[in-house]
Amino acid sequence: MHKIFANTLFAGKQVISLPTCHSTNDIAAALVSKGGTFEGTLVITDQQTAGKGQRGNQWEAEPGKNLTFSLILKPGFLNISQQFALNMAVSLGVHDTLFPLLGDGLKVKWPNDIYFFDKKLGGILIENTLKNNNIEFSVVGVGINVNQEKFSTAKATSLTQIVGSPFELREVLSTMLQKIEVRYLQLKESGESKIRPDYLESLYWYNEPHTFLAEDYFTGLIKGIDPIGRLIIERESNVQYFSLKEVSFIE
Amino acid sequence: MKAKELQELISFISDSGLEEVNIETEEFKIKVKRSAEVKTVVESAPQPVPIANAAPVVAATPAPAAATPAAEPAAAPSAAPAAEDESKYVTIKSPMIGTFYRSPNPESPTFVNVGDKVSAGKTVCIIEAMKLFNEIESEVSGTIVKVLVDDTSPVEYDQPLFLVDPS
Repeated sequence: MHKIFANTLFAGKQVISLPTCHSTNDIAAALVSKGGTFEGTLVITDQQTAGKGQRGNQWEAEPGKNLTFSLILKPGFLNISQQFALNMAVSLGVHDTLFPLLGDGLKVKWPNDIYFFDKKLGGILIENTLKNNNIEFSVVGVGINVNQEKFSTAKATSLTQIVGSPFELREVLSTMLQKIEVRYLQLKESGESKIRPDYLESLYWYNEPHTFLAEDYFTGLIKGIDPIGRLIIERESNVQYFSLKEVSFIE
Repeated sequence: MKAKELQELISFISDSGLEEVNIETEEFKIKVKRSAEVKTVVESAPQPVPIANAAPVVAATPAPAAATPAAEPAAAPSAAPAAEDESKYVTIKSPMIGTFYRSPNPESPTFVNVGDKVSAGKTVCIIEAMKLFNEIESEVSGTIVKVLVDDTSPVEYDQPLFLVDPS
């Protein structure tokens, strides 16, 4: 059997693997509230029966073909108001893992999806436990389509679909844990100074003219992300800030 | 991982209703499987050394006694009259701008309702912002007397969410 992940400092040093479970985030959260969990504990499953895509929406995946895991972190150094930085760091870790395999089509779509051109390859869902004004625990859920070949929607894709050959899940996971850890430590040591420019560089639709829908349809350019994670869009030389439900990506 | 931690983990797993759980650390690898009658199976680790430690603990783990500390006996269920002085209550406020959710997901029951006893550290709601979900804990022990915001409404920084009677 495999050796435990040897290329990380703490991520994945304890692995709880479940042939099936409803949601790795829920199991990880239950472990956290039970107490005694340490940073880097990984909960992974072959088959998630009630994964959380969006609130209420399910993330569907064929068993054993994709990566579905939750990593427990303790970003006590982050104030509540800085929590989007954690999302950026994790997104970049996933991006750093897949970029050598996929190249330029790979993008991070605000706020929490991974895209290959216009198709969704995966997503990230972070759930925090707050204590006073800091984040006590974060459960970082990651789902990436790896070896699944067919999807019920044309808007989804997988590594295999893109590259044309299957991947060793364990290898992708091992690299991903390492890359997420690197970005996380980067955030811990030097704040957003490196994370933010790299995130913008890998951001879907960054600085390209596209159509958005807010109160009306408009053409704008994504110019960045503000400190609390809102999307900054320039519209006819006016800069506007959007929360998640206030704007849709059209084309 | 120490023997005690392992024991706690296994009892957590038995409580969780999961069918099969595999735990792997640098020292050992263990498989816990539930079948018709609940039983625990230990597989040998790649290295033989520490498993000798782990095995007896696992074998000795009984079905988890539901050792939930009994919630402190509720005093007379006082349905606080509306006109009551609210100054003695503690307000749980939103630490951030976001959307207020009273349940973990739409199908689940709410975290707390009026009249519920909460202990400090108990999750009372979720505030979501930009797809980041934050569990908000009560900082005090007491009874929920009022829920001040409707489920799925937007909330502002510092906006009062719940009134808690700490007495």
